[in-house]
Amino acid sequence: MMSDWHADEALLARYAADELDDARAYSVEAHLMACPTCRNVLAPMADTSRIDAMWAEVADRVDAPSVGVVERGLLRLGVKGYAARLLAATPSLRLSWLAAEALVLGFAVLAANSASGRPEADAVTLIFLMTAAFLPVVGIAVAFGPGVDPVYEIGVSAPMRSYRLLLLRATAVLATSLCFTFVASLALPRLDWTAAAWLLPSLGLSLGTMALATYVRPLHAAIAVGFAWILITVAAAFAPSDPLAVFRVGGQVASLLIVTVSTWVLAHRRGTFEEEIFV
Amino acid sequence: MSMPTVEVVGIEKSFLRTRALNGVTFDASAGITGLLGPNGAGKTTLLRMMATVLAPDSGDLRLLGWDPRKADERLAIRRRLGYMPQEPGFHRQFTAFEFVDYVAILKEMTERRGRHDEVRRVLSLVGLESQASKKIKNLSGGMRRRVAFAQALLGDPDLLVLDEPTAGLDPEQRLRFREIVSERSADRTVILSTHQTEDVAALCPRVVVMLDGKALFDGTPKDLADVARGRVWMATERAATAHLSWRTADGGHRNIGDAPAEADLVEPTVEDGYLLLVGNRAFEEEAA
Repeated sequence: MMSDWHADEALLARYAADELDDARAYSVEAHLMACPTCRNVLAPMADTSRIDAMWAEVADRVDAPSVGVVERGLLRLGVKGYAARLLAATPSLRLSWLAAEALVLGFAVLAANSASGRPEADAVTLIFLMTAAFLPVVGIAVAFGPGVDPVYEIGVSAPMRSYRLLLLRATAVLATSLCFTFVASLALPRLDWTAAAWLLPSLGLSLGTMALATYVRPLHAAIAVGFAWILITVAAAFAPSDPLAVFRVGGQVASLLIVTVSTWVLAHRRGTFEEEIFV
Repeated sequence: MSMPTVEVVGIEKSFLRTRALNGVTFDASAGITGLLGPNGAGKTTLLRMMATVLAPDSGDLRLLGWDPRKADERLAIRRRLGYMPQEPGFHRQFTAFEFVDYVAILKEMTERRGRHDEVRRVLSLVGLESQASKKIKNLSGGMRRRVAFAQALLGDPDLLVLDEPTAGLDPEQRLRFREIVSERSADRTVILSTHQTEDVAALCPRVVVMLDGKALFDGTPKDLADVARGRVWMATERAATAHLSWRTADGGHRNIGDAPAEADLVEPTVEDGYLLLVGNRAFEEEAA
């Protein structure tokens, strides 16, 4: 019921300015709930910018279309909204790609387990290690660049550095592949040094591909690196002494060297990603 | 006349053995400049250069007063540029909203709410606000082109480079497109390529006709129509003396070229001027 009593303007002004203590503020609020006259007096005094901002935030959340599965997953992992959207457009982070990757690793692990204790065990282990080390390279090759990114041309004409986009996507692809391969390694019949021997070569091949991509298209760089990798590992496999030589100390040191040199090349030639050589 | 915002001087570009641009020269300032020309004339190559996607082999190019060959100046251009390629690619699993939002992020709009407001603004401009939640793969070809146009409008750029923007749009959408572009052309530079002479006549105060990698004509649409003045005739039949002739809807023949017998001289259109210009050149090359 409306009362005949009304709050004076000075009191309402102090309420609007948040200057009243809690008890008096609650009393004024209780009165305002029942008194349209006082609400009208208060209205021009109130700073609505905060309410407007909150309303705009609510409207934005409600209006924005729901995001896809990959993007939702990235957001849950704490990835920032804009970075999640850039990553969601990465072909090699789509569910179909991740499923294919898991399938390839699954077959390699299955083969390694089937061959366990037989003469061909080393050859099958070699295939697993070759595949595990090379998988991120394939992912990086289809993550960025002309021919694989349909929005590449619009992206090049935009101010965001292509180098930054490449690094963001390559890091996500590499992290995903490494996680998958790590899990697959745990299912190998022998949990000795071979279970982790793919890690350094994998980093070397990935960074080597990115460094080479400062000279040629990323896809071409991946093909070249892949060809060289298969050639070296297969040649080493036919060596009578040790088919897994590429993954032992010598190979690991060489991989570390490639990681170092490639990082240096990438840092010094990153400007080439902003130029036209890839178009 | 205002200072030129686009300066193209003697630009040359070859792809293997094909010479796409052969010393093209022209400039443009605030307003709409239309590039007309047949397929292979070099329009798309030139527009890709203006979008800082491609570098010339030789010649000088300045955009908004900057040199796109220098990294820092190229970045400054890209911050004020909107580009719609001839065949825009899409992440087809994205919705229209997500796609334009994705490009907005590439345009350095990282603050979410402001970016979303801008995405809604450009989608609304092209009449796609009700389709914002639809996946790109479920949109028609015309709608996809409008999505591509919307992303070019993000941030209200000073230089708008549009390659065949009206291809695939229905007449109503083309009118809407003309409205949007003309509204933005007062103090901004719009360069668009098209095959549609009616777009040029309706929209562009300035037209450059390109052929074989060169600017063959540079003037107003009226100047282009005047190229055919005194050479367009309506007759009952195809004239042997005409360079070009076609049957019109009322059953007569529109002949472009020397006067046929018993024909009426008619007012030339932009299309007549363009066809005569490009057609003549083709005939000259054949004779050579």
